[in-house]
Amino acid sequence: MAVPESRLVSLPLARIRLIMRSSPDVSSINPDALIITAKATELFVKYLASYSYKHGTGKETNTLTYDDLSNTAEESETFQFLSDILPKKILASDYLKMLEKEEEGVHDDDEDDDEEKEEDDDEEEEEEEEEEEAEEEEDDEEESNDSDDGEDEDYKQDDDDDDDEL
Amino acid sequence: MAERPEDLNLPNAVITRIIKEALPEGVNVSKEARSAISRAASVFVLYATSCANNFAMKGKRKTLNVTDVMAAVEEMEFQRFLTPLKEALEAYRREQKGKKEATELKKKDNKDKKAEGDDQDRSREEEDEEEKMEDDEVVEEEEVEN
Repeated sequence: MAVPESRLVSLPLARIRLIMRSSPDVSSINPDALIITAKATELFVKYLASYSYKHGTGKETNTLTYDDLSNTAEESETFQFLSDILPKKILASDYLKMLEKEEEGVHDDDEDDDEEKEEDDDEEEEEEEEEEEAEEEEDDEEESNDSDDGEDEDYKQDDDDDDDEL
Repeated sequence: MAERPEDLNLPNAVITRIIKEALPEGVNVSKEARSAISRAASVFVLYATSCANNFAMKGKRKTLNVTDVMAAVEEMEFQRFLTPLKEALEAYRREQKGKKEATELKKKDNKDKKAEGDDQDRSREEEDEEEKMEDDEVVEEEEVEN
């Protein structure tokens, strides 16, 4: 009776149960299974943080940034399932350059491959949509230009240290 | 049930503390990184649950149990968690057992006390009866004299 509540798990069990129940087809959860899931989540948070810090770019400055995490999601197979919710940030200017390159590529195809004309048409449609998006992003970029300047360098360092083992 | 999306978030303070525990002292974690890890943790719970549920369905069980979660963790390639998880589960079960024994002991204590109380009552009753009998004897003696 020394400890009133279990300190084995620090995450709130009720919340974990709520998240588990929100998954379709899950009706009931054994109490031990709930404890184990909460504990596993705790271990996961620790592992994700320490892995991303170890493989990240902020070791000299003692920082863990979003980019370290999104790199982890991209580079590590185990953390791959996070890539949708931890997308890599990309500058609007880089995105525009990518679009331009794609555009050139598509035009080349137009000239060379008459056989694949149908496919090219599809691509052109997609391209138009993308151009609209790009225009929107361009506006965003102008607004946030000042704050983005410093971050530019970070993106170039993306590939540092990535081949260390787990 | 979860009605708002933020119901599926884990408490920031707890997540921050867990992150701090995992990193060397003095490491600064950006706000964006913290909320990203928190979101990742929620997704981890969902992913693990759906994997575990697949195992439960395979076993034609409706309730997720420990083996389902363990199998899910293994399938997600987090084998490194298995040993600490087993240890945590054992510790939890010991703790539960300890609690149960403690409450049983308490119950037993209470019962003993109650039993003692009963004994005292009974002895008092007995004394009363003896006194009565003595009185009766006295009455009888008086009658004889008459």
